[in-house]
Amino acid sequence: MISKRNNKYNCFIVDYKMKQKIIDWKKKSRIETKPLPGDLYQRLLETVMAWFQSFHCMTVPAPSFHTYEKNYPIWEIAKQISEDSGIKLVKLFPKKSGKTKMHTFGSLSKKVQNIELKEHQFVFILDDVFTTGFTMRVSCEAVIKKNGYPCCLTIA
Amino acid sequence: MDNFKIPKIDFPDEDALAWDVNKEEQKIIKTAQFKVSEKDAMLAIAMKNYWLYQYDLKKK
Repeated sequence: MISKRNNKYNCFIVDYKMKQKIIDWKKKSRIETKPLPGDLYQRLLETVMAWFQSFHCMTVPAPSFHTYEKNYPIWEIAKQISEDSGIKLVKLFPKKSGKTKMHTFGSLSKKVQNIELKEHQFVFILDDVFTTGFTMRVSCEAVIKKNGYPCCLTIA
Repeated sequence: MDNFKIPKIDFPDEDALAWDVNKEEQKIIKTAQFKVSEKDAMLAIAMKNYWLYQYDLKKK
């Protein structure tokens, strides 16, 4: 069962109790993306298959300091999920979000990017950790501004 | 999904935004013209996220 978070928009979390496990995985993936622990990947895949398979496409939020080409952990996971679920994966946010520590305290806002997206697309946004919800908020608004319909899922 | 129509919706009251899958189902059938099964509930929620944004714009 997934849980729901409201940060203006509706977001869902596969298992909020796994937060530390995900943070540990992110730390280990700094140099090179490591596979998610098998049980966690399986739960993520089952959640996606059960709830998000009808979406036109899936994407991940803008990378803060990674690049898509080199070791962006959630992008690597999304590629695997896309392969296993059949949901088309798209790179919607080409620009880096430019995250700094100040984002955590809300004193420096990430921007809503102007993305390229056909109208009336249902877009599933996948991320690893739900913290303040701000990343999901700007990602959702970028999709909505193109008359798309976003829904978010984080692993923890 | 092929018969999808552009959703147009008014916001008569705050209650319309309350979380309720049944209400979402009614709204989505009315506006998007497709039946929402449990499997497709997230589509209704994605549309609700769109409505939330439009609702905020109206308030401003």
